[in-house]
Amino acid sequence: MDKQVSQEEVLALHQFCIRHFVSHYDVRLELVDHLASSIENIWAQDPGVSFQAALEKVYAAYGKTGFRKLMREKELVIENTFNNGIFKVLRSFFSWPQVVCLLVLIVLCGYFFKFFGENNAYTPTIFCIFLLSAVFVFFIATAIFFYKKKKSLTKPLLATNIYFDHLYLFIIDTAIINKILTFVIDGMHTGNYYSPGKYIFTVVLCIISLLTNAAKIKYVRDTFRKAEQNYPMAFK
Amino acid sequence: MKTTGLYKGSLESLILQLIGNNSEMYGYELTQKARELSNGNLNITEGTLYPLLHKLEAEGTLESELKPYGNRTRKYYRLTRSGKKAQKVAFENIQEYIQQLQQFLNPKLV
Repeated sequence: MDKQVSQEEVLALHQFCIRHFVSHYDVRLELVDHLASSIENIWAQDPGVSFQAALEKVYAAYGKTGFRKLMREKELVIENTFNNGIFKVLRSFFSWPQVVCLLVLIVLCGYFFKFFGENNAYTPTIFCIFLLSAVFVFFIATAIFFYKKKKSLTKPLLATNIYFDHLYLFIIDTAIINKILTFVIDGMHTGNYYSPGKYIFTVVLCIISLLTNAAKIKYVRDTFRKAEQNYPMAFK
Repeated sequence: MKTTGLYKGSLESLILQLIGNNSEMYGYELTQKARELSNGNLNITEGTLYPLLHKLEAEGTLESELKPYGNRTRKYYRLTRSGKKAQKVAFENIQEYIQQLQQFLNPKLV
């Protein structure tokens, strides 16, 4: 039987990968098997070669950049997968009956607030503040959800950890909150509490924020569920 | 004869063919099989192979399973139902491409 990589040597390969900036457990697991298979292939031709010499020979084939190219390419794929995944989830929210119901609701609310806005100037402002609170609460809930998911990991996984580096995901929410606050404050200053343009703009911004956060939560939850099945060792 | 560059555009299709023909395969096995079948001309690097496998897995074309092998864990890839359809389409596309190449290279035969 051909010489195989021992338990100690497998651990040494894990350490070698960590030293060469492959800290993510999911990437490391596959890379260790690849390195071990390459070393065993060298041993099949010449069993006298030491483990260290075989590893150096295998690593030399990765060139000057080592594992960096592999990591960069994997990160790119995961980023694209994440963006496409969020878009797919978002698209799944838009079935025809849902879109029609939402449009009817927006128009009905618009007439309701136009009617009350003419009699009571504060009603549209209260409505704006209510929407703003919903956006803010959902935004905080998403951030807490991301934080809790990150804490559930004992070993970093590239497939899941990449989302936590993406602070830009929350830029939409902060921009929306800022815009609605500006509407409310401007309305208070000028006395112009209601206008159809402002109303439509506020509602559309809030829907974008709520749906993108719902999509993020759904996508990240599904990714974690899959990762938990594939890499149970990486979770508490 | 060096034909490495010619394989590049068909890499995804070739990977699907290899996995489809062997029911399930792991990364290193794929690189070795590709080298063997191409007489050493197709050298798939890890920086190309693993991101591609990950992309195909994320698209739902491939599914993976971790299995213990010796003292380590090995990740096996196999085609999903939609992957089998993708393999069929990839095979037909390559066949068509070869026929079109024939028209360019040897029009009298076609």
